[in-house]
Amino acid sequence: MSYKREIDILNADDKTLIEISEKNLLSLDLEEMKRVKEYFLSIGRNPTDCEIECIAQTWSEHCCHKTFKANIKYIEKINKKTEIMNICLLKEIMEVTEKLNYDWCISTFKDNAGIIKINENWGVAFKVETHNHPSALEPYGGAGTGIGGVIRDILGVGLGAKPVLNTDVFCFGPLNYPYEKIPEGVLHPKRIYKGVVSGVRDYGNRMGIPTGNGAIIFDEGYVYNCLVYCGTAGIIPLDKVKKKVEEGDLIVVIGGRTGRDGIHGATFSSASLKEDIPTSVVQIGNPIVEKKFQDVLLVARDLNLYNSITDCGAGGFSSAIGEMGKDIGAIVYLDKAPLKYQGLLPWEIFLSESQERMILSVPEKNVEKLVSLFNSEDVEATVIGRFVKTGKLTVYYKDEIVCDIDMNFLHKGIPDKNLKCFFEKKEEKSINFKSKNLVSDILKLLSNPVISSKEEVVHQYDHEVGGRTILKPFVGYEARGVSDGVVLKPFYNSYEGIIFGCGINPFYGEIDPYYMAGCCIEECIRNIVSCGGNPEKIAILDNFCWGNVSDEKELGKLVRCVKGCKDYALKYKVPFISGKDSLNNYFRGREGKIISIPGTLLISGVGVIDDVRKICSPDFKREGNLIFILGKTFNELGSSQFYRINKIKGGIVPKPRPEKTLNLMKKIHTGIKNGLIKSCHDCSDGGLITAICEMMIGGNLGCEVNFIDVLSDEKEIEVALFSESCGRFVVEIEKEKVKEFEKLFYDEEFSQIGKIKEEREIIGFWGNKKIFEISLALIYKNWKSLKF
Amino acid sequence: MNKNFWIVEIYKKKNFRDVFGEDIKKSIEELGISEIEEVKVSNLYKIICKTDRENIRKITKELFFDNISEDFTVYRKKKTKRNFWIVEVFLKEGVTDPVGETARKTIIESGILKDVFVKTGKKYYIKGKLKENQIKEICKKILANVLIHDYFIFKKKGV
Repeated sequence: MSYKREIDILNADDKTLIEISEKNLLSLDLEEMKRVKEYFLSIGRNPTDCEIECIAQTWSEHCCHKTFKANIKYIEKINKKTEIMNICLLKEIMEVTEKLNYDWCISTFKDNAGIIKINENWGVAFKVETHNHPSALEPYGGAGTGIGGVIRDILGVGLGAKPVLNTDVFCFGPLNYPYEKIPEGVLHPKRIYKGVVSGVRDYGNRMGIPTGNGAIIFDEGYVYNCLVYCGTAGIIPLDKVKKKVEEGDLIVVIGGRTGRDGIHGATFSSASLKEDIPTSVVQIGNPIVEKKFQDVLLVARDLNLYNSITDCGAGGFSSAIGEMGKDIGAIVYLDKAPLKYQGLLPWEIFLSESQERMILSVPEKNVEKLVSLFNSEDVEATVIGRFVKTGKLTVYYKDEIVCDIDMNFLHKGIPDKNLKCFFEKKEEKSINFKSKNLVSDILKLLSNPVISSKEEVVHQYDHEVGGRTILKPFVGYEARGVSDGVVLKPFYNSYEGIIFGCGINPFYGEIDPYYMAGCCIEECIRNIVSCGGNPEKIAILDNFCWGNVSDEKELGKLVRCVKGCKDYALKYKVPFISGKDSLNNYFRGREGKIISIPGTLLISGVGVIDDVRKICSPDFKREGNLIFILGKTFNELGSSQFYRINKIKGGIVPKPRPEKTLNLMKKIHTGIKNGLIKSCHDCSDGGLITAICEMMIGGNLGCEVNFIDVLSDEKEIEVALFSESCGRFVVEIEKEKVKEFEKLFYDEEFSQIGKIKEEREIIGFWGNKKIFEISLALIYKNWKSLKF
Repeated sequence: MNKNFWIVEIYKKKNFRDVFGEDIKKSIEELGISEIEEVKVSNLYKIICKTDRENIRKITKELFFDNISEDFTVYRKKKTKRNFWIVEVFLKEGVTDPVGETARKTIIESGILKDVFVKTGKKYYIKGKLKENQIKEICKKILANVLIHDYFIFKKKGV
């Protein structure tokens, strides 16, 4: 009996090639199918099912990032000025890191995660992944396996890092979206929300890893495709960063067994969501299995039992082994792989995306010791093949060869992609929208789901397990206030710390993705700096989630966004250390109507500090202290939360000003280190008024603020209160330290705007005129009003 | 269907809050179905194995339930007079069932049975003047994800 099926492509014409690709869910286009045909013509036979599946997943958008590697002809038309350029997105991003060339960036873009140095002996690895398609279909399983997958990325970076923190950012449709508008086969945002949150909670908590940083965005654009970003950071000894597969090493699979779960995950996630989906793409996580091998893996690492490691993510064995052996060659015996149940075809075993599996490359002399070490902790470890210098990926099932392809063709054979796209933009014009009722607008702003408290979600996560969390997600009085980032103290015998923050704002992208990128990068750095981070020691990760990139307009926005990333990262001098893109997040309804998500960029950052005792939280500390705003405010209300709640489109989008802000941030770092700044919060979503309200909630104190003192060229109430201009921080300074503060910030733009007081209310003035007065109780009630 | 199986149903004792059921009830109300009176949820373990009821009771007492807040019954086919709807939700064939797998391993490790297969599921008791199409809607939108779950509706008496 034969276990393979031959796929006739030698005699197939163009039309049949496309049919083959569609029928087998390969997601390969005609050019690629033709290249496959060419290869098999050259070796004079037809491919097997296993071979073609293996090629399809290696070449999938998910694994290979075709669009980011493509040559793109980009036409930019801004205010009638046209510019044409050729661009490669991945090169643009990587150029930043190359140009900055920091010696503390240990590993960038080549391994499972990026690594930066904490001290001479340790580094921190950080990676953020997306798991959008699976979470849209089965929220609990999808989000859980998203977290599980990114944890394995960290376990598989270098020779293995110890995970210390998870981060989560979600984008959902509005929770009150009408049920009748949801088409068959699409889950309601509320259901997705519940499933995703409990999936992340259950996986993260059971793994014993704190979940400490994140954000949740609600917008109608995410009704059909939710976004689930999962990140993990880990600490790794610097002598365990290098890994190399040696010729003759055995291939060992550890952890879970292989079943039919998640077959076609890689190719599927590169396509759009349709209304009919096969069951097999769903993955279900089992955190207990992962927890068991996580612990024993690090023991094996310290005993130097293996030469290399990687996780089985998208594409399963095929991707993991193919990637590890790409410079050598590998022989795999699939019938040796432990299965969940019988009856799987060889290609299914090879491609299965069953969770909780990792591949090790183990020298023969260590195998016995390694297997018995894993078995002693009740973890399965099985030899399934060997890395042999053949330059080929050869796969046996019993005595039959089911796959035999050149590594070179598999990894380098993919045809270059040439794309073109355009971006068009008219001049931004300011809209002078006036608030009719300040109090009600402020309260509406605070109860807006994007701004309001996500405590109900965050408190489901354990953010302290491991005892390393110094600055937690909630701070201040009764832990009511939110912090800008999270600070960890990774070592018991030193005060060194790592800070995490993130920046996301898809709304600015409606006006210009270029500035959206800049604002996200700045927001991320601002978050880290306001916790006490050093702006000169921050590394960032990019995660693009975009809609239908075969549409030239959508692709144009993506290119514009990448350009923004490059320019602003260079200006802020922050290197990218890792990244990921998830494209084709769109839904195709029955009538063929395409609904793309808003182009979304998540910037996650990690910073290193010398002393966790010198950090800062954003809650007001004591009555009588003075409130200052650092940085200048501009009339930049385009896509601001204030305009969104009043349903106003257009306007001028915030523009980062790195020349000014970078210096300012360095001084804030000094100010926090010296104990000069008592509390510090960055102004982002919702503008200055939101920042002040959040600081009041955290401190359970009130304040008086004169908004006319806010430094701005345009003296307008709306601008002062609601503008979301970049580069601004609200800080609290003790009266007797004002001189010292002014001395430190002498060449910066800042102004004193108010005073903290004991009465729990905020009174807003405009010069001599009182413009509003709201009690803290009312503010807190509205801020807490989001009911899940 | 294999006849050599037992179903263990674990439910909350009367004076304990069924939080999960309350949450489901809230979700049903949000769908716009106001006729709902009460929802109760129990956990099901379908234990596929040739053995007698006593053994299954022993397994359940030792491994599956919390004596303080929970109670259980063991049955093959349950016939009850009822004035409410019952929905059972199981994972589809071939979908990984981590809880079932852990239960299987634990039973074998306990030494009570040598070979066994366990599937887990949920059972919902839904009280209220609901029509069959409403129950179907509840199943599809709240109780089961048809991509990975099979659901079975047992009619309320008299419908």
